[in-house]
Amino acid sequence: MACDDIEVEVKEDEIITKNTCLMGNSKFQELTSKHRLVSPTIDGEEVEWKEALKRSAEILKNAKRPLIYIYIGSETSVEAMKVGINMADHLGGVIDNNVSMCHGPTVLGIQESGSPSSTIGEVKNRADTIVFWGSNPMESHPCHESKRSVFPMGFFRERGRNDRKVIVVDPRLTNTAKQADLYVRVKQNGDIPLINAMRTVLSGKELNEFTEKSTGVTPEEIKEMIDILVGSEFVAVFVGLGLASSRGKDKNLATLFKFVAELNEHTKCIAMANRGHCNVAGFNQVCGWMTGFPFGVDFSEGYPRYNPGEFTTTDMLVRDEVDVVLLCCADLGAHLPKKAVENLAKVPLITIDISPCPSTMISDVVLPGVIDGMECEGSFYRLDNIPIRARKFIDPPFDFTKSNEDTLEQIFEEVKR
Amino acid sequence: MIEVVLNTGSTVRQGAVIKGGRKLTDEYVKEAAYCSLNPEDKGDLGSPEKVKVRTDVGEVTVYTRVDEGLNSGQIFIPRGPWANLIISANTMATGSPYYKGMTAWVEPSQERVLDTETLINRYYLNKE
Repeated sequence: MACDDIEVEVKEDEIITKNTCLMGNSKFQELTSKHRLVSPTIDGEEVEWKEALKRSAEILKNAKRPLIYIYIGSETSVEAMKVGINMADHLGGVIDNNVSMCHGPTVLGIQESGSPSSTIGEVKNRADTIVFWGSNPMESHPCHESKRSVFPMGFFRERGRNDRKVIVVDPRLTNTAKQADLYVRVKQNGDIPLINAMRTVLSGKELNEFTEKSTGVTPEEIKEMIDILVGSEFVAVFVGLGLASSRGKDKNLATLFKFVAELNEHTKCIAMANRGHCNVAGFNQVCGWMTGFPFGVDFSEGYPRYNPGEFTTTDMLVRDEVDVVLLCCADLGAHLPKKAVENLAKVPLITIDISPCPSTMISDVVLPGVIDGMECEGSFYRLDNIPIRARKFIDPPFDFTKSNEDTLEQIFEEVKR
Repeated sequence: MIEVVLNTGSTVRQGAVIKGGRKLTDEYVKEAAYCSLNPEDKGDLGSPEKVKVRTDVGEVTVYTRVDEGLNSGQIFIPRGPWANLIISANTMATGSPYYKGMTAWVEPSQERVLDTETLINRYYLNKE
């Protein structure tokens, strides 16, 4: 989530939005879409709400090792996350979120190296050099550059884009890279060698003849990049899934954050993940203050345990260690590798969602979802971890639940009976 | 057949389709069931309408597009059920699958590009 300036006008059968991108407007149009899920189903047959709740609770209570997967990506508030985590604790299950398959490696990199950060407002007001590393906001965060980082006029950057330099590091010449002042075409999976080459130059040492072979970048380009960074007053490095999803994963990020720390001996520099999926940052916050860990937490021993690769969704599904999944506002069926979805389709699956999707196709129970932050109020975390309260401006198209928090509470009450 | 490096990821149009709840429509096929190739690589393959992309974990037939921003030897497939058929579930102990950087092989294909419902039915529900 990067936007906090969206304006919505609700007319009869029409939703008019301002300041939204193509993706944002699509989401708001879901409020009046014809395909919206409005009736609960069991095995594809419409049932009463209470029957669906009862069946969900039975499935959860009979599980030996339930994976309670709460995805906070689309429109689920932190209030709903809190209920999901409490339910996983009560059932001795596992709680996870799409962060584990998204910027999870970035979180691990921060845990290893630390990361100086700021609000995105400080970036707008102070940053004179923006680095997008493995990130293509022209596609993933279309309003990022125009409203947050590159083009807006800030307190110390009165001329907007003209007061900033943009560096893009990416193996693809993306649309973001095309408008950069310096585009660095790193070799695929060559991020760690490149970052270490930058650290070498920053420490005043010379690069050797193997640099270009391992990074795809010439020593001259690396020196040019370091000259720009060291000569800046405030550098903001935005990291994307190009780092988190490539070979090296968390080590890519940990190495980059070490470079950011070292650059702070020369100038000011912050790093921030370009996180998508609305409230994904919120899950790390809520899970952190409730369990001590940011994602992938197991309660089977009666206390929270954290071990990425062991208690994370993809790994548990691939190893066939899960016997029930409760999926809240996530479409794992569309976003996990085949081997994981094969096992997801085998186990009893309870899905809370707003529209038909691969996950609802393979579900045993489907409960209509509420669009939190539109059809009910709720708290959401922006990508820079700033909490924002979203107001309700329209009613859900049914009256059996008020919010996803309410739905999870109702299931939890049935589970505790 | 050519050997390439596979990148998967989001695009704004694929994002608009999924945010709009239209995953079971032809629009999703259009915006997620394609493989972008460097123009020279596509030419070397005979400029096919469809290609089969294979990795160590599976294969999938998708439509082709051209992207001059890709180096020769790089391909890009948007995030979605089609890319998931060929992505490794090895998370390298992080929880995150290997979405970017796998070795893949590309060849022209005459096979049908599956729509979402057919793909889910065939691969996960064992029915057409």
